[in-house]
Amino acid sequence: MEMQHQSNQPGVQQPPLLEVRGITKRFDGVVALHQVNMHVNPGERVSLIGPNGSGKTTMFNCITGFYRPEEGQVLYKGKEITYKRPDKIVLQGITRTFQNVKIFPTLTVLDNLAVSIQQHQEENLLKRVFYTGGIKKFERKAVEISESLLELVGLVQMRNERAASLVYGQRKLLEFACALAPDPDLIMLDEPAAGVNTAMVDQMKRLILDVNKQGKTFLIVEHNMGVVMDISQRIIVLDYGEKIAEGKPAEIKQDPRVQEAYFGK
Amino acid sequence: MPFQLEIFINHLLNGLTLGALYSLVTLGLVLTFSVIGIVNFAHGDLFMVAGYTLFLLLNMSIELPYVVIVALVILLTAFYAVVIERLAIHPIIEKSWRTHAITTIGLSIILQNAALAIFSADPRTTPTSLSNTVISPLGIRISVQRLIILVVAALVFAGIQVFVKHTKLGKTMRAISQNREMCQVVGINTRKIALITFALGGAITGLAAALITPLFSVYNSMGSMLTIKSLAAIVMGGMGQVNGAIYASMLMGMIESFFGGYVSFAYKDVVSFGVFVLVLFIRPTGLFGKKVGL
Amino acid sequence: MNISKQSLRPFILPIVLLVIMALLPLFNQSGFTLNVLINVVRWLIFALAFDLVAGHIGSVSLGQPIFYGIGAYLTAYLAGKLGLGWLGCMLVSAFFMALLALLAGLAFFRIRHVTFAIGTLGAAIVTQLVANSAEKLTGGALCTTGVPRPQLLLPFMESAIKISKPIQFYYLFLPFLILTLVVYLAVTKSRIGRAFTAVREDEVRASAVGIYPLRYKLVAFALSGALIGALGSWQAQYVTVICPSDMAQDITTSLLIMVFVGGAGRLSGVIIGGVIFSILPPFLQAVGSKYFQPAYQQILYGLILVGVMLYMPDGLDGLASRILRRFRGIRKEGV
Repeated sequence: MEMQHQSNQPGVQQPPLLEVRGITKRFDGVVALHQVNMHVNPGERVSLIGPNGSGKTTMFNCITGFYRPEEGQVLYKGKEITYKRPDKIVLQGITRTFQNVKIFPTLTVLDNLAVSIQQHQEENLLKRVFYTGGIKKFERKAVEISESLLELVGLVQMRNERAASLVYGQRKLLEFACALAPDPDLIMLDEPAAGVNTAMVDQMKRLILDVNKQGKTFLIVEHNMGVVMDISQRIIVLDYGEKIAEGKPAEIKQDPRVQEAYFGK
Repeated sequence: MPFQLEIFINHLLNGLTLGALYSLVTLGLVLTFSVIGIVNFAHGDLFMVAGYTLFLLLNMSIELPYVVIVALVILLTAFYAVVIERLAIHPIIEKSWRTHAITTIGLSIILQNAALAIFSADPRTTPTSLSNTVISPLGIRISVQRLIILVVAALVFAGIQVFVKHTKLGKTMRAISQNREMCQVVGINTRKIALITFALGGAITGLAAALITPLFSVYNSMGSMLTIKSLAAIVMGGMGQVNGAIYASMLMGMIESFFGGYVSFAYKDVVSFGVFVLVLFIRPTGLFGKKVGL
Repeated sequence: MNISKQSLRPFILPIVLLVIMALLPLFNQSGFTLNVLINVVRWLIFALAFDLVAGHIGSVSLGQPIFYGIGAYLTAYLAGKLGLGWLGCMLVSAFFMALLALLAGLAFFRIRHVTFAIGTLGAAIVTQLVANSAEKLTGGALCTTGVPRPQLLLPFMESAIKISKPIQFYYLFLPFLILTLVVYLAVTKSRIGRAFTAVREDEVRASAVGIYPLRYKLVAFALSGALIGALGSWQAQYVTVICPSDMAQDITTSLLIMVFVGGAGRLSGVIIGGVIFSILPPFLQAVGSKYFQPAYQQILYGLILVGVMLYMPDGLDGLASRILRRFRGIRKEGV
């Protein structure tokens, strides 16, 4: 809990882990994001909310390198990552999940995790082609990490099944575990509670809080307001591609602009 | 060599007919691709089958007028297309592009070799009285058949524009080509539309074959080259954009005519494919912007 | 790591295959048998190399015969004009075809899915047309002829033997198949193979776990190009003639049938498909040439290809493993 205290203490100036400065993204002339600023502090749990089409997922894609914003910058640990390739950004320590749950269906559950780890292991290894000595060690380590994560999300018994045989909720858990696998600093979850039953929503909330306690930072897009209020320390609200509010859950609940954006006048 | 206007005009006309001819062949393919999302590698072979149909109809003991024969070829080819759709395309319509490609390549093998078994590898000619009639307005010699192709192609393209923009069916097709999932959600029977599109594509291909084969000949393996040229035009036109594909076909016809006429006949196909491969590298999204759909 | 039954399984089929292929000529050395065997080796190498790209990274290249053809023409020049030895020719061809694959890959992998298939098919047609038209370079449709046969000089020999008998060719060819199998297994059963699968299944997801799809596509493409280039080089020295039609589309069609009817992306699938469809033509020809023409054989192939796509998307290999699993299940229940 120490890290959270730090970030919440007023007056302690700490550089943000992630900083988004004036991001603008257009699609064929339609503005999806307009001059949005936001930041995420180390160890924080931040939610990004807003009505459908308000630009949340676009923001995710701009941060993770899948979209190139027309204007603005994304800084991670003080370094600019704006126009980097998605794979480079992941290797710097930002992992993400997808709204429509992406896993590799013909790989086994264990291999899904291992493949999420392997590039990180090899990243600093220039002798990629000649790593025969190190590769076995890496592989053992990857399997070790994968198994402990399967235990965490409760998928141990599915270890050698093809991921295609998992049901939706299990896929979500697997994708979440994959996001944790390479030991990232910032984990970005796109609707972790969507489409699953209440028991699994609770499990997901618990997992996020537990992992956060170990020092991982979360940026979450979520529609389920109950979940958002329970897990966020800070909430950022987007509407029509602009940031309309930002604050603690209790403040956001009261904010008239938010109520208007969500429920109309 | 001094510049000769007559030769230039000749190449221009030749390029126009070649382009019109390619666009007619491409049109059926780009329609099915745009609306159904299937790239049919057996498209050229459908043209070949239509060509043989024309050959058989012209050599019947009863002599029918050319117009009637053209109408019959159109109907029969639409029927072949429907049979193909029912038997081979319909069951795989929801599968991946890989399945589409390989299934239609399989179809292409079947059609080409069935034609080989029935008609042998010898080219068959289907001359009509029109293909040998040459008129020379303003001193430019052109065969009536070519003139007909030019006129019919222009009419067909205009017809397609009207059909797509002003009829209910056309508008539905357009909507599907732009957002298939949404159309399924609002209850449009996309599978029925797929069948109709295939029939329409078949009819246009039949028309193309009935008009074009009298100028050339039919042989069993002619489809491969037609397929790949149509595919090239579709890619250059921006994957599934009907107008783009037509412009690209015209462009290929022009390039072949002028390069073949002025530079080297042997390398004309190399150059037109070379342009295609070059376009892929420079503008992978096609020459004419990236608007989606019909 | 403990060696379990599971991890040995992929090696069983190739080893059985190689043992059979190595021993068969001891029992039957007829020209027909050797011809069939050489055909099997050639097509298996070709299909395995093709599958590295089509099956494992999922980019269906319809232009792989380009590497075969250019490798062969290159060898005609190297062996015929420069007098380079057979192994040297194969290595140089492999090297240059890997290089060509890298360059072509940088361009062609900008497009994907069916556009990639169309683009590579276009490239194949251009190459074949050029080979046909550039008569000074390739002999055009009259082919390049008179490629020298390989000479084998081993340390204990006094003079080199000229390889000319089919049996000599066969046993010199077989190690190349072994090498191809080793490369195929080493790549696909490792982390690289896992990354290949990731790229094939979902490029977006692959980038989200730190994989740069292009890098792995290029690796697969270059490996495939090198193997096929070496194969073309070998084949040029075996048949001594190279024609533009060696790059024709029906080569690609055969590859598609072998790999996708057998089972794409799986060694057992490629072996099953490759063996069946390289043995079938000579047998059909020998047995049935009286009854049916080659066209019927091709129609049969087409029907099989379409039928497999419609009813057995996993190919013969998928069917075989389903049947095997059922037998095992029954046995277990019985005990």
